[in-house]
Amino acid sequence: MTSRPGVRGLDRRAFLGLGGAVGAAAAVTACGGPIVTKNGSGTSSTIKPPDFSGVKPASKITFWTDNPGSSQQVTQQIIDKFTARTKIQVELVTAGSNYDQIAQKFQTARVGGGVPDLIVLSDVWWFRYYLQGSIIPLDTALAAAEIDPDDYVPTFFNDYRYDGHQWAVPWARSTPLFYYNKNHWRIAGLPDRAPTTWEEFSEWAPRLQSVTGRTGAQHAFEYTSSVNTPAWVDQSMLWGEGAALSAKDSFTLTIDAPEVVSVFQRIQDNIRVNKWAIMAGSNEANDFSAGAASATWGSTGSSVGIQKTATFEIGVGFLPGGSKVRQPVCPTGGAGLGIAAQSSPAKQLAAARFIAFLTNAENTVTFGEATGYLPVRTKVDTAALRKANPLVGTPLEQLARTRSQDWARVFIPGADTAMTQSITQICNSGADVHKTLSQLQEKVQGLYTRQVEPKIS
Amino acid sequence: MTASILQSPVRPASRRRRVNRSSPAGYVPLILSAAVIVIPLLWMAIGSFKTSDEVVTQRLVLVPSHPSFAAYQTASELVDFPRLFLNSFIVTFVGSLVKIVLAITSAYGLVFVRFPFKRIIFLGILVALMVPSQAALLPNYTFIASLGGVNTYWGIILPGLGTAFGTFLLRQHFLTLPPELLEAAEVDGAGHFTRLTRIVVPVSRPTIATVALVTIVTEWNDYIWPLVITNSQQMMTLPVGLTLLHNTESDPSLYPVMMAGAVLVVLPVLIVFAVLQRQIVAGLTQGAVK
Repeated sequence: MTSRPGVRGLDRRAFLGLGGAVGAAAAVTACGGPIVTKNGSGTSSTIKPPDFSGVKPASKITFWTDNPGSSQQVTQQIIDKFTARTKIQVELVTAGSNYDQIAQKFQTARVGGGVPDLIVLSDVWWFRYYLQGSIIPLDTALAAAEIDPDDYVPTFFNDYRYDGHQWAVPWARSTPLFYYNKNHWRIAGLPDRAPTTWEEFSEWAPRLQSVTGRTGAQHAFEYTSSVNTPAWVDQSMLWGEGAALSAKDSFTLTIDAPEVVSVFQRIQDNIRVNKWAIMAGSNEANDFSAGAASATWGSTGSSVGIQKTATFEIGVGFLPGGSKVRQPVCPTGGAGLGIAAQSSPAKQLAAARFIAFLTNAENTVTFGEATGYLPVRTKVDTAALRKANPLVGTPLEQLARTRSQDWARVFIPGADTAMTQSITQICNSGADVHKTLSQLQEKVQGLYTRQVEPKIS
Repeated sequence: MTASILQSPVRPASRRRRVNRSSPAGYVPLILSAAVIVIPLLWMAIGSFKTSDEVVTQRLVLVPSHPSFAAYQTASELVDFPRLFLNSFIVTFVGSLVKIVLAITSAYGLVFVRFPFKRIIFLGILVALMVPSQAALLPNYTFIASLGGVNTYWGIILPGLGTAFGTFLLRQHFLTLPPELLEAAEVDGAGHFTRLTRIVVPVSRPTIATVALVTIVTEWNDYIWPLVITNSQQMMTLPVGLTLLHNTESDPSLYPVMMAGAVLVVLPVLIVFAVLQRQIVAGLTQGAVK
């Protein structure tokens, strides 16, 4: 019974066979990784927005979204109204639970077929689609759908402008806010407002930390967790010190510049030396809602959820300024809508009509009430919005102090992920700040040289 | 791996059990390991009855102060659970059934039928076992999509049907069956089909139940493939449907809702496990042939 083939120990031949099997497995694995490839049309000089003259809108389109801000129900309501008015059906597809999953699915669909007509695009993804030629320039589509670009909030709208064309329309847009726990503020004897500068907060924070016995907090402040793209808000601190990840409107990287190093050194010191801050383990919005952090920063898209959960009074304020720049230091974030290049002109036109409806003055407010996102139009009645979400006044005013994000983060594929890794090392492992940032600079530079430069020159 | 754990304590366990019964110390590891597995599930179930400020809190809330089905209500408003259940059931039932039949027949062929290049074919199956399904995602998608399989049941089921794991496990098990058993049947004039259905399958019930359990759980929980191949909410399976409950922005108020959704997904698997568990034990006691 002992020496049957297959149950005996691994002899030499079997081992070699196994080795071959592993090799074969590796070979099968090698095909089909996610690589950014350019798909035929769409080099910068040859871009031509599609011509919609004589095109009739299709009667049915597909819309892929990850329902940012738990927006499934409100989006469906808006769709129902749209269908009733125009007879155009919109199939709402939840194509993932975050922007990366949507992107992965969109990539597979581009190769295998079944692309949606309309897709949600996050700040760090749309440029990749532009590079791949998988979304159309919207100039003619917007005109055909009678959308007036001037009626959109300029920072939001211009975020999607590149190479003389418009590539997306803002939809679920947000800005970060400074959130604070009013009870903790009271116990620490602080004035009832957000700090105006980080210097001011660095005086307040030790006082908050000294009363944690009474407030029940663990830390005075929590920095963004690694699952929530910390580089997004961290740009704000850089801008306050006159620094940036890349020079304005260019791909010249400045990640290892001395000012950047000193900002991240201060973050690391607040965590490891002063010990009044920490990088959130999983989610700063949770910890803040639970009272474990006296203050944090985060997207306005979280404000509705935080208010539902927190049992204390929440204060919000503008992001604090730096020693060199008081404003604008606030980045904008969130998602916009793009139209797939592989879709037919009739469907593209229908999609553009739907964009016009979804982001019109009335619906952008309805959407904002349900989710906490900001209206993307200028001529809106914000009274209803302020009533539904008492915290929304602050981000609405902060809109005037926003600044478009650094290209290094939003335009270079994979850069944001690399930044998250480096920031996590700096905050959690106490890595040498200068060394980590030099390595990051090198890495992002490599990503640029390989994936962006060949396609834009 | 799970299979070998479930399967191995055939004989030693029955002997050792008597020893353990007399000493309460034997229960300690048992209770500990059960706790490690059960407590998170229990915590999830309790969480689904809490309010969000009882989930996201620094206090330890063991018993919700106002237990309610509100989270379940919200979850079912967001997601069409009956439809998702139906989809998951169809996919899991058909998928597992075909997988198990394929695994049994192919393993039988590999062990009891004489034909050339058997080892090479087996090696090929081992190769398939080593390729993570994620790696085959894109080629599979391209292929299935070109056949028109997006948003269809067969599109979800087909690519997973070749189950190297089941074939491998059953082959190894069939090799341990005493050849005399089959030789006797062959002398009596039994063909391959009779030998398979009347002898090999009945005596291998524990192993087949193990393969079935692992297959059903894998099919039920499969996420990435159904996510990629379905667009329509009408065709989503339960794990994919759960993404509808998740929020891209950090939303602490959604935790009870997500836990309610997870409880609904876990329950059927627990039931299947309870049923098949008995099968495995029954198979162990009556499977002895000599």
